[in-house]
Amino acid sequence: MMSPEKRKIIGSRLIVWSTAAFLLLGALTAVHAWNLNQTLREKFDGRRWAIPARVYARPLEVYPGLRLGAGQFEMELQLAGYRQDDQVSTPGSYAAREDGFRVRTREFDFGDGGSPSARLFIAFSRDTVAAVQDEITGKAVDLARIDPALIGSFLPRENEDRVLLKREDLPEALVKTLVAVEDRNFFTHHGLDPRGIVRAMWVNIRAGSAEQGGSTLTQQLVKNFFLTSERTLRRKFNEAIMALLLDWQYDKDEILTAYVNEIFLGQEGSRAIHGFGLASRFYFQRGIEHLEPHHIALLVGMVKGPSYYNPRRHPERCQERRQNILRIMVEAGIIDSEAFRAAVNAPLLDAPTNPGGFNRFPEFLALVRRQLQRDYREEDLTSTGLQIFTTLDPQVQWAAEKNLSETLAELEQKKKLAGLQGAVVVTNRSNGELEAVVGGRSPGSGGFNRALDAHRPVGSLVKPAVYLAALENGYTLAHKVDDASLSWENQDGSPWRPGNFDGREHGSVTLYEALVYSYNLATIHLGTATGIDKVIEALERLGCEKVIEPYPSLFIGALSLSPLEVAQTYQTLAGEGFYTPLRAIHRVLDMENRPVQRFPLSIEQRVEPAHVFLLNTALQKVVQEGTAASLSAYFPPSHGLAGKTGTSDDGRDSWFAGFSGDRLAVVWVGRDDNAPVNLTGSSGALVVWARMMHQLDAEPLRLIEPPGIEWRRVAVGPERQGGAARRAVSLPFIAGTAPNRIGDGPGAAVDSARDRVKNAIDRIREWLQ
Amino acid sequence: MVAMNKAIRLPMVVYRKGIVRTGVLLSCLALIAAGLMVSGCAVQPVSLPPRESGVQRATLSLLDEAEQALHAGNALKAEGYLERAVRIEPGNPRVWHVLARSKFQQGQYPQAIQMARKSNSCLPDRATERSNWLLMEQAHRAMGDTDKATNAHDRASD
Repeated sequence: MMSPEKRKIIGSRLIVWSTAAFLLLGALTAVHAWNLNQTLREKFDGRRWAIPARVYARPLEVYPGLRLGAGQFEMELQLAGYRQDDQVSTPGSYAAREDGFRVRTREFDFGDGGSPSARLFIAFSRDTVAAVQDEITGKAVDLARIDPALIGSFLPRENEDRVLLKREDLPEALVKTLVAVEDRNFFTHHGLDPRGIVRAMWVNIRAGSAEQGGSTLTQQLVKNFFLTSERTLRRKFNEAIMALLLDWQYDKDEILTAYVNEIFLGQEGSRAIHGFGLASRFYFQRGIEHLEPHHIALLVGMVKGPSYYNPRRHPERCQERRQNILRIMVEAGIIDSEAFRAAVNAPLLDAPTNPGGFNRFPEFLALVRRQLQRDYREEDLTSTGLQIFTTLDPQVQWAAEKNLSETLAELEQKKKLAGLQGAVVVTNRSNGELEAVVGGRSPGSGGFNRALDAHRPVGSLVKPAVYLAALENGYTLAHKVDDASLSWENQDGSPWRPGNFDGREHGSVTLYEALVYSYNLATIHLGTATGIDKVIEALERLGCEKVIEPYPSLFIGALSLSPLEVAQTYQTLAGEGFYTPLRAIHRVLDMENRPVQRFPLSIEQRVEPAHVFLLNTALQKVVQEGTAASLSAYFPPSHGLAGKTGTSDDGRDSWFAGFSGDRLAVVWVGRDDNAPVNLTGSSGALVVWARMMHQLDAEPLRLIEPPGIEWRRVAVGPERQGGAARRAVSLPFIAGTAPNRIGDGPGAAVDSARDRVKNAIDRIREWLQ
Repeated sequence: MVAMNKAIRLPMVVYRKGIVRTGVLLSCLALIAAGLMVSGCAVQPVSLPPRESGVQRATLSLLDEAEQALHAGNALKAEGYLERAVRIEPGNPRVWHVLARSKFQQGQYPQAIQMARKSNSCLPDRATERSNWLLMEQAHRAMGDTDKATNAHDRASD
């Protein structure tokens, strides 16, 4: 037995020790809490979320006379996330009518003056916009803009995507429902809610299933924000402390808003859908302000299990959950019984799910990203919520993707080929905006982007630069040049003996014929006579930024360029002598719509109007009667399209670069391993080009004829026996250089007056046949 | 959903030259005949086909906005409208001319000159051409290039 003293001592020691232990524990807890609080404040006071940059297509400009079919227009609307709604009840909805569409556009700030939401009726007739009418005023509208489609985001490493909402953006019904379902005492508790736990248990027992959870919104937020999902006591303990700390230091409204933005509500591939703002667009194609009770019920119901209650994959479960939430809503007085009846009968997802344009054009996005990486850090692109307005034209991109992959498949089948690849770049002829970039035949695979990174020999695509240099140095299209064999010594002493594609020599030919029929030998002679430095200078002036080696093989295309680089070079021809840097981006705005950066249109006249006119006229002839004559199966000669074919050795690369009144397009076809495919420019790339441009209803090309051009008929083609009249073509000349004025210049070939009359009669005969 | 209706079918139409040409010739004759008949009557006002007039009205509405913005000293805003106008009607010399003015107002003289040249390359009416040369004169002068300014001045009063 212990003596009472001893017991007393032990007792007092126990008190001392336990007090000390208690104090120590308290101190440790306080230190721990202080640490937790640091973490909490850092995150909560700092920028809470990484907001990815958003990338938009060009906005569609709609005006009477615009060539756009009703079907194409509807595709645009769907890409921009418009939903079909006969009542057109919210911005971002449309209704199809027999002769057109009723459209309610979304308010949008393009950074060049905002456009308010408008109610429009847009009538179509024969693939053209026939009329645009303001439905409210009844007046005709000269020009309207549809807010652009979101085509992608540059997601941060965690792949979280969200649209940030402010407290005042939150509809009261959403707030009330969220509180009623998830945390009834949210506005009165201190972060933890013991009563809530008891009630949740009671409700769950009564319902026989887990209808309510006991965690407060604050606890859920803390869990999502700071903690892992492991279910340990330690985590529960930290969660409780942090919930108390959060509630103690921050407004209820602030906590609620953070919750609404943080919560995970679904997954699309690797992209995680966070927050009610993005979820309401993702599931309903609506802004949060336009949610109806059944939408709110569905989203709030999903909080409990976003995959389990996914309306697209598990509609029955989701439906049941939604009806339960609606019941809670009517019990809590958030909606009246009439609204309740309407809501329970409403369909789960009110629009047929359309995929929208999210990350559908990864090759174009890659280009945008590459351009921006020069000016921004990766972190800025994925976290600061930049808004990037691009030049992508979805119609053009679709047409390019479709025709490339279909044509390649067909070519493989017809010509017994395998592994064909291709790339397409399309720009606006007048301002250098990139409208489409296709980097391979299966767009979206995110693989090798051939439009930017495949540098391949361009073959005869280089020739226009040779002829431009010649025209600038005193030649005319009627001058004669020798198409005769030649040989050169390579640097290593081996002989270089180029030949023509048909293996023949054509003798003395006009510049015009040499270009239109793409004669290699004549071009080499011409390039040599003009001077290789002048040819290189012309190429650089056109916009080719490659370092070019001065070997004569350059004249027939020993120069490797990417389709994008070819497009930049041809842009100056398409722009009738005006160089324009190609652009994929119009402007960049920050999250608050303040301008951050602009990429304005800039131009520079680099070729004399007369010289470019002569050259482009010859390029039109390439299409009318030369190596690209097979285009006549798609376009009548009156379309006046201009272009050039290119084929590299053994048909490894098939190229076509050409322009219509509205667009320049460059197509490459070949194999990644550089094996011969035995395609010429016209049997491969040209087919893709033609089908795509036909689908896009290419505008006719009307070259601007500068003052001081004279036209003359010139005899071309091989000499005929017995001095019979040769074929005559009408060619442009700079005033004073036409052959019959300067006499028989070097090889000028002009008919006599008698021949001209004879030719005219021949032509009329031909016409009448 | 209406799919891209006309797009799918491939056009294997080979234009039959004979028919087309005969057609063209006949319509030429018809036009001449019509011209002879009409020549005695009062001149009818020429109305543009709907497509052209729609495009022109869209461009005009943007040009109006741009002029107002320029007037208010907001050249950047004007440029936004004008770049849209270039997209809709790139061959309109007026659009490039006003773009030249907006560049000039921003002190971007080399671009002002380029845009004015572009406008002139679109074969404008004499008044616009003259304004372009005068603008180029001012821009060259602002850059201290008296020779080119004088040259532009001469071209304006040609």
